[in-house]
Amino acid sequence: MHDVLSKIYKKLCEILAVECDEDISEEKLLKLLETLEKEIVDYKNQLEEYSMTLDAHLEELSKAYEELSTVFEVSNILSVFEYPPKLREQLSKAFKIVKNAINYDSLIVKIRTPLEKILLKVPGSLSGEELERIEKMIDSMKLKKTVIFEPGKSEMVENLLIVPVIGSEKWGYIGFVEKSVKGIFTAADKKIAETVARQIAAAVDRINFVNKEIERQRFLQQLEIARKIQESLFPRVMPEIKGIEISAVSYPAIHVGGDYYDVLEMGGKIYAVVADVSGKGIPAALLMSTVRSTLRTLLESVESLSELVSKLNKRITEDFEEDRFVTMAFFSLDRNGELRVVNAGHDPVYIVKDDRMETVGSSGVPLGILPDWDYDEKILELDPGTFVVAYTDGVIEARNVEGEEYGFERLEQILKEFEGSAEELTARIKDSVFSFSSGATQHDDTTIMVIKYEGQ
Amino acid sequence: MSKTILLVDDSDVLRKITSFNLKKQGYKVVEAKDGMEALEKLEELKPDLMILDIMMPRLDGFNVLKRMQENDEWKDIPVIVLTAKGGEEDEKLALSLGAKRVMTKPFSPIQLLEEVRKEIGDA
Repeated sequence: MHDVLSKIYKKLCEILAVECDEDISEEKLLKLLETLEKEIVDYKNQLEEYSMTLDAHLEELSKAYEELSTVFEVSNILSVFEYPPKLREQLSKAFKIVKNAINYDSLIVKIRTPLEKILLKVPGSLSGEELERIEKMIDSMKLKKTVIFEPGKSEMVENLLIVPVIGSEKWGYIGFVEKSVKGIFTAADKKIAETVARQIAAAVDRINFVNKEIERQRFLQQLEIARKIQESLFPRVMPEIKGIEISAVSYPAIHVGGDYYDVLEMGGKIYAVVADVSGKGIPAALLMSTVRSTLRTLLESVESLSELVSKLNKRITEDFEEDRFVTMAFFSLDRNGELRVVNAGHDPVYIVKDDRMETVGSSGVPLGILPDWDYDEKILELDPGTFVVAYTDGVIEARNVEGEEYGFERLEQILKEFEGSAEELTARIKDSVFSFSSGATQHDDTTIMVIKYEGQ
Repeated sequence: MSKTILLVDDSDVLRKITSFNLKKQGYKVVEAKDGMEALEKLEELKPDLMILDIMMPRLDGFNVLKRMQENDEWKDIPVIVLTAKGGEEDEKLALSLGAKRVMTKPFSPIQLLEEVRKEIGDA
């Protein structure tokens, strides 16, 4: 027995790393056993502590993994782009997943896209009225960044985590609600919610961008139609009358305006018109088209130029909306040099011969405003070599990069010094205007018409 | 007697996290760190469900599925496959080899628990 105890004693000394005495006593053995017991209990406690720490780490890791997977999944859902958009479905799918990472009871998501207003409400344990009260409260806030409300620290009885959805504009917000546990929303929840909000904002930005692009394409299509209409209205070939040279050009601005010119020959006379129709795009092009066809029809049945313009005015005023009007310089010239001019609210028409210059200014309101206006015509006898110059405000109002207007003086300077053909004068005016405004945007259509009376 | 899940994944961390979550729900978890070890465990016990990673050393998840299909004892054990690759091909192949569900990594631990519950119910 003593031998066995001695062996146990030695073994214990070895385990506990203490020096053994030669003589064994029961007391010594018991003391060693007590030390061993204490060490075992310490180890057990330590192990339990480690195990708890490990569990806590695993819990944290698991949560982090959950959050990571949530962000991935939500990103996958919201990055899918379709047109027409299905954002409502995407949001309800995404927020089902967000629930795994953010512990909320109820949810309000309010998003406005250029196409729709989305209100996603998940009531949880809250009543409809309670949720509505919270919704109204958030609506009244000028939310620019995330806010967290806790009961006790605010007037609210619920925990609220509210994140604005801000992209190129503020598109709305996400509101998470939880009332059971106080202070439940953490910094991690806030970060996830903000990441989700950013992804929603990016999705709405995409919808907004594509929507604008579609509108732009539609607008460009309309513009193209308007441009084609406008182009088809200009005469392809100028009528030829001995002793009269006609030249005209028209350059539409990017946004098609309503410049129009036409030249017709009837009964040995030249009838020419330069007009500027109000508005842009298809409506202006249609008005222009009507003016053209009405003019051509009326020309065959009227006695004088003034009667023609008066009748045209009546027709336009009756047929078109109130805010539509046309400024117009209309003239006829025969082989004897008799020029008749009606100027209805248009820029002055220049009559130039060498250093003599005369203008025929407006003698009435633009067409389309007062239906019963009587337009006067001015009659002039032209000497051979006289130029008649008509244009639209795109010439006078052309601006250079400094914003300065081309103006009448520059035009008159060219007219005074000019010698050459009608075509050359047209080109000279055009080059002068475009070199002046080089580098600046052309805001309005630019039309120039030059008629040279060369004599019989 | 709680239900047993054989959890096969070569990633120690992911295995510990998943095991921790399953045990918290009361399931008994047996771990294997590759396909070979998984087959050895299958010889010893018949789990109620298997969670199986695809990319593993020695024997990958596809081969484990094939072996299970060939064995009458094992072919009815429901398997949830985890894959790091997001390819549809992998998903199709796993499903054609008898997997009940394929989840891509990083997967949601909560969703995995739901899938387990769907297959075998509570612990």
